[in-house]
Amino acid sequence: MMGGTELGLLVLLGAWSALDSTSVGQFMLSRPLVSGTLAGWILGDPASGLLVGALLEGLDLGGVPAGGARLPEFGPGAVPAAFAAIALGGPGGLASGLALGVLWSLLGRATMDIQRRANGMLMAGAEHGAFVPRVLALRHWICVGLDGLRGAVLAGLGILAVSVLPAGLSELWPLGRAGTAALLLLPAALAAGSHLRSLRTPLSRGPLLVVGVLSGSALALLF
Amino acid sequence: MKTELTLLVRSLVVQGSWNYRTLLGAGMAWVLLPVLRSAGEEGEEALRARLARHAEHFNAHPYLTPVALGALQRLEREGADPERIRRFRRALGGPLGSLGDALIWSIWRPACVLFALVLVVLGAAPLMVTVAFLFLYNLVHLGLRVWGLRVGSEFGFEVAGALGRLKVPFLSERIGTVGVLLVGLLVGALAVRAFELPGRGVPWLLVGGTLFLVGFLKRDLFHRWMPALALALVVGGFVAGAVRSAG
Repeated sequence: MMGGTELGLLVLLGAWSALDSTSVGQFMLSRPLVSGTLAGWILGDPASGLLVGALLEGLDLGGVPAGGARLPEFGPGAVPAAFAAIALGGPGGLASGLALGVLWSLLGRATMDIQRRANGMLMAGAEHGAFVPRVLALRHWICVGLDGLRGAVLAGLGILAVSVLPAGLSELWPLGRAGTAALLLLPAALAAGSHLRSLRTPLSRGPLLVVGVLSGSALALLF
Repeated sequence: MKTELTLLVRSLVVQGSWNYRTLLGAGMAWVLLPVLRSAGEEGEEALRARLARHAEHFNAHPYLTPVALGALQRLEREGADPERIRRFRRALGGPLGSLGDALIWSIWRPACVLFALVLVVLGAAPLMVTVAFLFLYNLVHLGLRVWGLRVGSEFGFEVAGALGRLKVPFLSERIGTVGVLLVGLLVGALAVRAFELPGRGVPWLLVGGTLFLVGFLKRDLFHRWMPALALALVVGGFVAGAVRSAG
């Protein structure tokens, strides 16, 4: 059972992830790999957090946030995703976590769109000298605060959604842990192919790809 | 030095008020505020005019905004012609955006993510994966911010020449090469893990390989269908499980 401290930390992590994804720093703490693992740590199971974060990361591999592109926001979504994976437990929990992470990343994208429109309203007229410096600074920080609040609400709602899922749902899942991870990695295979295509002249680097495949196989056999 | 440090720290929040109308404009004005207070004509109205000039539409990659910030703070301090500053600002944004997108979002970030995913598949500990990913990524991220502010402050109007020295095509070529190698490493490691699955390795490998090829050949389909595919797999799995347990 999750305590108040854990809940508070997860909500804060959601806020932090939302801020990091655009408003503050972009240190990539908002990557699902990181926020999922941190959520797992808070809940005492970083390995499950890492696994669900890595699965979400695989889905986002080809996303390029150029010029304000509207992409799914996986960071805050990875928090309830990790919570689902750990709270529901087993392979079914992992599958539920991935599904919730995807849904919440789409919800994150929609709320980010609203946030950017709200920022536009708050800053309307700045380019025409509408604000004295103090007001401009205050409005800038209000925008940042709203973004953090957005992430906190997203994470909190996700956790709430997991807690109202019917008991025994994860037992319906038909696969074991390894089979589940393999199934859920299939979309990431699509993303990896897509990413390879986005790199310049991938075909002329065919031999390098083969070297990579052989090295990866050897490393996986060793570890 | 103190001004540069202030600009560097404030540049981390330059996207705080990102909006569809002026994009980074208002954030740029906020970052430059301490400089604008101390440079140029005195008086509230003059300051407002300087602030408004820097709140106009501006777009750039966030990690390269220090290039513009460094140059703009120098020009404001030197009392350059406001119209010339405005034109310079407009001309600089586009290249800073496309350079950053090409180098960071398209190449460097995916390379770091692939590296982290390879570590995950090889069974590295969660702490090691996250620390290695964040350290590697932010080494370049923070390095780029510091470099950008330095060249912007040093070259002012002539900063475009300094940007040429970044050798973006060469860098993206090299990082892209590493990216291909990392995709290979990930595919190879996953293939071995698939064979370790009891009795089901080959079908998983065939399906995964087919999807990899589809992703490679039909790249444009990817963004549209990725979330739907992931959700369909999970819902399909639960439905199959429910049907099996009902039967």
